[in-house]
Amino acid sequence: MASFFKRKKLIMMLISIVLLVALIGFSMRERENRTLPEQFIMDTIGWVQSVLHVPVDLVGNFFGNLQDLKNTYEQNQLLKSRLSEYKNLLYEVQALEKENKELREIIEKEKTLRDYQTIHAEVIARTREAWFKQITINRGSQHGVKANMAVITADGMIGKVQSTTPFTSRVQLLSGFDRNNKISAVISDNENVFGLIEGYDEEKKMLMFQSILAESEVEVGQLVVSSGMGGVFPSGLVIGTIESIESDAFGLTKIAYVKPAADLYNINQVMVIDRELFSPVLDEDQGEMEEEL
Amino acid sequence: MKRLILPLFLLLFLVVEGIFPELIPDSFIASDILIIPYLVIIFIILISVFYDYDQTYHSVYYGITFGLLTDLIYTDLIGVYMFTYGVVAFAIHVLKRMLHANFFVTFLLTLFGVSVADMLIYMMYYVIQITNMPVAEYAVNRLLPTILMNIVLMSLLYPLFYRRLWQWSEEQMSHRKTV
Repeated sequence: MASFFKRKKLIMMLISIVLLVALIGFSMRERENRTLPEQFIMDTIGWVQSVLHVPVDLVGNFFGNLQDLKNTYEQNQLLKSRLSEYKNLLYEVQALEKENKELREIIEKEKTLRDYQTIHAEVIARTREAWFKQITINRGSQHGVKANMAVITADGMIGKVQSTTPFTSRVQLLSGFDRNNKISAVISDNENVFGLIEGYDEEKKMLMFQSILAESEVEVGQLVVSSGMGGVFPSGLVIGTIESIESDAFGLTKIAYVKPAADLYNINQVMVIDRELFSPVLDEDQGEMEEEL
Repeated sequence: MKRLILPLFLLLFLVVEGIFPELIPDSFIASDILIIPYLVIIFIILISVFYDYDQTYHSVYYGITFGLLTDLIYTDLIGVYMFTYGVVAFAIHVLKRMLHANFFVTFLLTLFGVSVADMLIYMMYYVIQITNMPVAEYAVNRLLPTILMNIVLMSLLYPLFYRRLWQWSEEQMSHRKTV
């Protein structure tokens, strides 16, 4: 009898390990659409999360406000001095926008890579497992969010939508990007310098801007923005500033380390970006496309 | 309705785990220290010690169910947390049969449960290349702070729940003996 029980336990153990490997294998694939039961569970819990998030936000905001109060005077001084500059800038921008519109009408081009619509969303949870660099937001496919769309805050890009359910979506942060998630990027004041944002350096806490031609002129402090050539993101989304430059192992290309413009740790309000120009990945049936954003 | 109390509390802790990173100061997050809350495991240990009889396995079932939910909600991979929580809950169930139900024992079991759970999860994620953190770095930056934080969390939950779990156990499972 005792040996029977031991055997039963052994068999249970084996079955559970086989089940574990099968489940992991099933879920390892890149999945944009989750199965129905998964979507149901994630939506239900997403609802609970957004309810529970309200008091936490209130408390957090209160302490944030207290901190702000301390620095108000100095900030006020600084802002006043900047204000006149911005006024001039505003007039300039308005004039340029008008001119741009007129010129576009002349060449009958309505939409550009730069145009996009935004879907506002709130962060309802960060993943508890720190190795998955993800956040959950309270807008899903019912609101028009699709996998692979860019996600930004007021400061700059923070990541892309990884998967959606009807009422929530999972956002992969820039710090979790690997070789499968490339962003085609340019340097904002010199559009001839192309490259790909490919991977994140954990130690330096910076993005790696790779495949820049060796002869192109890159300087520390330059602003890196998305180029829009990857087919999903619009152009002109701020990614970050260059902090250091190295040449790669073979000396053929350069690698620039880019410090993300947005704070990737403290995120509350985000915008999901839906670009207006036709995007082969988003607007066609989502086929098995090579993901180069 | 009474039967739903435990799952509801577990669900609450599951959700709080997701909000938890926002509650710790930013300076912690910006440094390399990773603190993972295991509220669900702590509550399952309390269930195992104070609610379960020797021959009932509620803690193990809850462990497997809420492990699966954790997988679904917080990670991309299904199975890692489910397996870990199941194994830990079962081990705790076996251990508690030999021990008395008091604070010190719960303390030891939490120490054991949380460290085994975190190490199992690290091992699995290391094997499937979710992380490539070296073992020494993991032990200092993640395992130690996680254990310390969860001991603190356990000391907060213990006085709130141990008497109630006993009561619920009496109310809900006494009929078992007659049936």
